[in-house]
Amino acid sequence: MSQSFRINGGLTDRSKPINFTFNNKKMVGYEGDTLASALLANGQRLVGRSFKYHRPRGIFSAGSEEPNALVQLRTGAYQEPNTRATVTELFDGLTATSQNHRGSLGFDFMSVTDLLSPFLGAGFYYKTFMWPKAFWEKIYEPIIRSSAGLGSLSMLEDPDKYDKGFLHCDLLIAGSGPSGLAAALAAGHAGLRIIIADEDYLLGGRLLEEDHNIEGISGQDWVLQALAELTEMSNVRILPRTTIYGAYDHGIYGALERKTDHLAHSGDKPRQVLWRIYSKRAMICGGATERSIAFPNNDRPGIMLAGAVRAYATRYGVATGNKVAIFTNNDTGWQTAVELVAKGVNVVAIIDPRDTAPRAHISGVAMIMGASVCNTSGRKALNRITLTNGQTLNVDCLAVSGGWSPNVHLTCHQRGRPIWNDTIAGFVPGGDLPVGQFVAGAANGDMTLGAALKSGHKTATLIAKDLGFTTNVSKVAKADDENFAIKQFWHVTGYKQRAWIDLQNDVTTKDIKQSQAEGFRSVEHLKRYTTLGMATDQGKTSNVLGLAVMAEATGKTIPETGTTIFRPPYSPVAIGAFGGRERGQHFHPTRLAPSHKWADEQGAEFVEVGNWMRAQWFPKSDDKTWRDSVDREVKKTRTSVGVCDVSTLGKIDIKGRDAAEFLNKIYSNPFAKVPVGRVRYGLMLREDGICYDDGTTARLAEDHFVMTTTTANAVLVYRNMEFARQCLFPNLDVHLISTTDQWAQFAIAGPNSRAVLSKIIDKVDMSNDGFPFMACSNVTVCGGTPGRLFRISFSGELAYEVAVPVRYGDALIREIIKAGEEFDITPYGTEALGVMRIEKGHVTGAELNGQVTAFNVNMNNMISTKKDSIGSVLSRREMMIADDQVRLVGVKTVEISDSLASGAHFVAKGEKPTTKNDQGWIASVCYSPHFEQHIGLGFLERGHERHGEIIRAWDGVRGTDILVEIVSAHMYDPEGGLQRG
Amino acid sequence: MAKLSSLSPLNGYQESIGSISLREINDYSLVSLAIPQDTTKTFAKIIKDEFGVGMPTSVMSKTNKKMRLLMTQPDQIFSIIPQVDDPEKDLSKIIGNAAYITDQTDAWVILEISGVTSRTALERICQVDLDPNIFKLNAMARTTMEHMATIIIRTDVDTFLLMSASSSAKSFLHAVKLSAQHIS
Repeated sequence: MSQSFRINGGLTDRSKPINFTFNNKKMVGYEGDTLASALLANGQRLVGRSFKYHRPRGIFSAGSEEPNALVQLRTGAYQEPNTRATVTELFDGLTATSQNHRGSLGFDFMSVTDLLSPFLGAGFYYKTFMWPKAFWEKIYEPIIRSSAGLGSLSMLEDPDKYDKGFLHCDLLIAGSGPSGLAAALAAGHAGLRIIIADEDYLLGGRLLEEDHNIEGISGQDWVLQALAELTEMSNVRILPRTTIYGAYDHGIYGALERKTDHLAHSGDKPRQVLWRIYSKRAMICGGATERSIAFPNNDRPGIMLAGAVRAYATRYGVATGNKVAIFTNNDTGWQTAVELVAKGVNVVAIIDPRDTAPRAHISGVAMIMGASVCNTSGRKALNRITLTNGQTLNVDCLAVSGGWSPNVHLTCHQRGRPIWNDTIAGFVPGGDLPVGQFVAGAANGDMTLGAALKSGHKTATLIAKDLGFTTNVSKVAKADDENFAIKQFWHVTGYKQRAWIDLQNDVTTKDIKQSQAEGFRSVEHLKRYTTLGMATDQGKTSNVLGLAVMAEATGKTIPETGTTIFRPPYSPVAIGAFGGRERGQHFHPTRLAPSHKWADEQGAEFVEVGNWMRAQWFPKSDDKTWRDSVDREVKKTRTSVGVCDVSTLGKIDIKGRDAAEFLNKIYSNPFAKVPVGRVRYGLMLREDGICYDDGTTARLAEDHFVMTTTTANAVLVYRNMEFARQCLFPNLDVHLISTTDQWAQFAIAGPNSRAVLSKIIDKVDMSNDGFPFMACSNVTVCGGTPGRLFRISFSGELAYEVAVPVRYGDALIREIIKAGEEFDITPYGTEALGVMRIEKGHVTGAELNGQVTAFNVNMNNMISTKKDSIGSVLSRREMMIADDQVRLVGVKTVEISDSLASGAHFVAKGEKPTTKNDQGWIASVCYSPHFEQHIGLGFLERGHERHGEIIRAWDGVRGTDILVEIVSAHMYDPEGGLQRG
Repeated sequence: MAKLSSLSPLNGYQESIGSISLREINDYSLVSLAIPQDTTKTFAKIIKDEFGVGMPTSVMSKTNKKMRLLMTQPDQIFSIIPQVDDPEKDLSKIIGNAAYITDQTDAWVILEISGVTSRTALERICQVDLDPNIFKLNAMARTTMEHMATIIIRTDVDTFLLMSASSSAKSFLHAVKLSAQHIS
């Protein structure tokens, strides 16, 4: 296919041809083309099918407002549906296919729906498919969804990379047309740090698409001159291919920069970057979007916006037809005609519904005033138009201008409501703009070039002055103000054929009127009932037209009718861009324990615990299942010795003259008199008296404690303690610092733990008298490395925890294993840790789940009545210590072969499992290699009085119902003799 | 029993990515100096007299050849000094009761990023405005990068120290490295 519609001029580089395909047809364009301009140059007028009726559709606009020309780009996993051809830069090898048709684009079987259109009006699916009820979800909706819709996903993982970032500026300028560039020049010269962004790959806005003169040179030359000036300024950052898609609080704007979409391959770089721009001030210079006029059969390929026809000729050197007619209600349509004729495009007529003299004299063009287009023909492309005066014209392109709508979207993102301006027949920004936001140029209703330049310069100058910059360093560029008279003429009435308002959603004037007749009077209801203004274009070309027709139907004015407002994003943003780089294993940061490398070498299975990767168990070749590994680790620890990396537990160093008093307030049990060299178990309550964390705290000096928290609550505990320190007890001299990452800490448990540690710890009397249960000390290990030693036990065995600075953690675990070889020491993971603590009856997060009290966990005596501490008063509320409350119990299956599941409910034998009969729940379960059966911890009403009782553990989710024996939570070594050595 | 060998969080990583040089700094000791109530003046005098360094602010570190001081919260200062075996012990000899000293050397990983495009790389992960007129030489900020708590310090026009938790050092390195690789 040759480029038979190319004309002279434009900004494409004719020396650089680009090969691409559309529906597998090979075509050629030029560097600087969009896919749309290249398709038009090649005479490809039919580019897609409409959403609902599968009507043939062609390119309608030349920008991001495009409702029709949506294509699928690229192939395989890179395939991207619903891409607007009008903003797709052409690159060598580009492959595009049309979408939303069954069969070929030319012969879409689904176009039969157009014949059924009388039955498919607005909201048809709300009324038509109501019976039988069950059919909606299984039959009707799937059929409707598969026959309507846009492109399709590849269903493969997106192989492209995305990234995010942060930018800062004094002034953000969104849009680089005349007002944006004038603002950038003024602010740049004044010294403001500015960012100027434009969704286009070339800056200049409509100056690239229309012929104008500024300061005696062409508009395009003025753009080049302005850009050259801005590029030289170190305080100016220019972001082409960047859409400012959202205005958020505190001057923050969202921007999407398309980094490599214009390239065949991204070269392992991010395809798009989502910027968060922090601005002191922002100027919206987004221009205006042209809209159409609704007239019968106004949707055929070849019927386009007049500004787009002008843009294709002026910027891209493409004639959009061999015989072009213009239908306009305003003077810009006449300027389009003049410009097209000057470029050699064959304009056969200009039709204007205004009963005035022609707005210009254009030689060779029929000027038909006081008439409108009332019908069109041409099955797959326009070939004839009929006028209200009965005249018919053979044309292949109809350029329509119904006026221009200022792009007020970003002014609405914080609920700003635009106001109607009768002079320009469009909505302009209201007074309630986001803080720090200003609007200039056509976006503010300054529709002519001279006015746009002035408002851009003036607004930027005011901002500069407000921010304290010198402002008399630049002058506004001068240009004439072109005519901009408009008649509010929205649609051609009195004809039975359908007239389209929203091309993307197939919404017609009839749908608007029907919606109004059925009682949908609010524009918000109109939008939702008819789908007007939805999908990828968000009604940029259709909203105003739709509500003008609605206003007419209701007999109200447009201001009385009101408008829908806009929310982010201004134009579509790929979900991948929102995800950015945070994918797969990098979805969140990973924390590694000090022994991670060693554990990995042992083949450990890891589990995510918060952000930590913890060894779950250490498989050996003889182990057939994970249970074999865990059972072996538990048995070996209980019979000889095991070692576990417990560095992930929160560690907080507490220092200060008043550290003890502070802890006395933080913990519910007494801490003021803990001697130096001793460790105490502590319980923390929330203000409402509910338990939220427990752990041990060691006193290493009079003014120095080391607290351990659960892994999960390390941050929460630290945060709460900081709050208490700074806000509740500011008079106390106490200081906190997290040392979780400072110390590598290993639990060494089992009857041989003392023997193993004796080889590691330097010069410490490890005997029971020399270093008794709950002792602690600063020590050195392995010949001088500073460390800490604690005699504490989570497993219930004789056990210690030894800590060294993290840098020595890897070396220490290797030395411990070496020292334990003669005892066949085993490393154990979190599963064995969990088994041993359940056997022993130690609670963790599964029990302290945010709804249990100290009373519930049988620790009521840990709430001291002799002092005040956080939560102690409210923990004594009557209902929290009533006798019939649930209490922590141990659970064993009656049948050895039965297994338990956490979450099962306790129900008495013979009673129905109902809420009323629910007596409690099982919180933690495991298989105990020691007891050789499943055991668990749970909460049972008056559980402490019911040891020995047989009761049911009913699990409705998993469908099990077994008998269990209630026992003491302290199932293993209940007297604690082992841990005391 | 063999003496324990030490391993830094990134094992001495260093790499050049385009014009960016990225390396782990691991020849330092880092301690937290918590100032007891009513002792700020005494502490400031000792620091000035003994080390010749003034008190830092929450946005500006103070430095000389002996140490760099960062204010991490109103009564807490981090001190980065040349590496010693027992920084708590060494510093307490000088500072005495004017600060509660806690070794933090192993709690942090420090990456140095330098090169003319270092700011461009950091734009991808750093919310702080690093414009040299705003974030001046020796300026510091506590912030987050890719959800990881970070302290950033400008040590030269195009050089920054990035401090983050040692346990997530590999994730942190990935985040910074990727930012350098993603420059386009």
